[in-house]
Amino acid sequence: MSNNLPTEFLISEVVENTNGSTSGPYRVLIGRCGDHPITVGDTFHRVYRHRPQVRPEELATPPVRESESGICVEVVRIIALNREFPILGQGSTGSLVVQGEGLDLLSPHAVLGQPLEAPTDRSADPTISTTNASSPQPAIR
Amino acid sequence: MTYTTLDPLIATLFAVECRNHGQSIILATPRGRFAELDPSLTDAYFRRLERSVTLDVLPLEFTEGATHEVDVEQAINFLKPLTSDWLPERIHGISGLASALDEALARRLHLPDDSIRHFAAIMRSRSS
Repeated sequence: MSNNLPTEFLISEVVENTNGSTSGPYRVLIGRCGDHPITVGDTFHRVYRHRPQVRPEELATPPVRESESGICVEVVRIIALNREFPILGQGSTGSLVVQGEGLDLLSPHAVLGQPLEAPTDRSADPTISTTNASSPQPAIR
Repeated sequence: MTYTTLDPLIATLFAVECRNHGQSIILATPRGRFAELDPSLTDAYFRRLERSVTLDVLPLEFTEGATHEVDVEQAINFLKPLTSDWLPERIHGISGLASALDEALARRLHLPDDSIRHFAAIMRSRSS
């Protein structure tokens, strides 16, 4: 199941100032890792909220995104249990120290994630391209 | 380290999410059997929200040292009357779990101590 789910971090609280060693503007995000591990160096390109799911049967269905915005923040430190870790496991709670563009959009109950559909620009790939939209087979250049 | 909770309802919500990955059970042990880690800033937040306690043991060690276990279905059946029938039987991923935890908090469904003792008694009877 988890292979179909996005990499997310569910923000519970945002701390602006701590006695950390990070220079420049940053935020400390307290929250929970989603269905895939998060590693130092990972970059998130979207922040959004999930439409509230209240009834038990709603909780069995995928969440719906609301108020989605583009950002570009990088995870520079991961802290849990007063220690630093290179990775935060799926479902685990911890703090992410993030830097980048869109810090002011990060707030409690927001979710860090990625665009729903990855860009399909294959211009950087020198070997494979589709010949036309209806062709099911890629052509080898 | 092993993340645990003092609240059977919270444990059950986690167990319901774990149903996505196979059979799900809840393990329990008397508090004090394993050393607890000092809470960090993050842990203090979730200790308040989810009555979480982080133990200084590997999950496998906790599994081997747990004294009681109950199937998630049994836990749901016990808890439903205490939560006015609000208790999901399926949860979609970690985001769904977070929503369920928030909703349980909003509904003030965290169990009182006498209900927790009752739940522990049921676990003991199931395990004996």
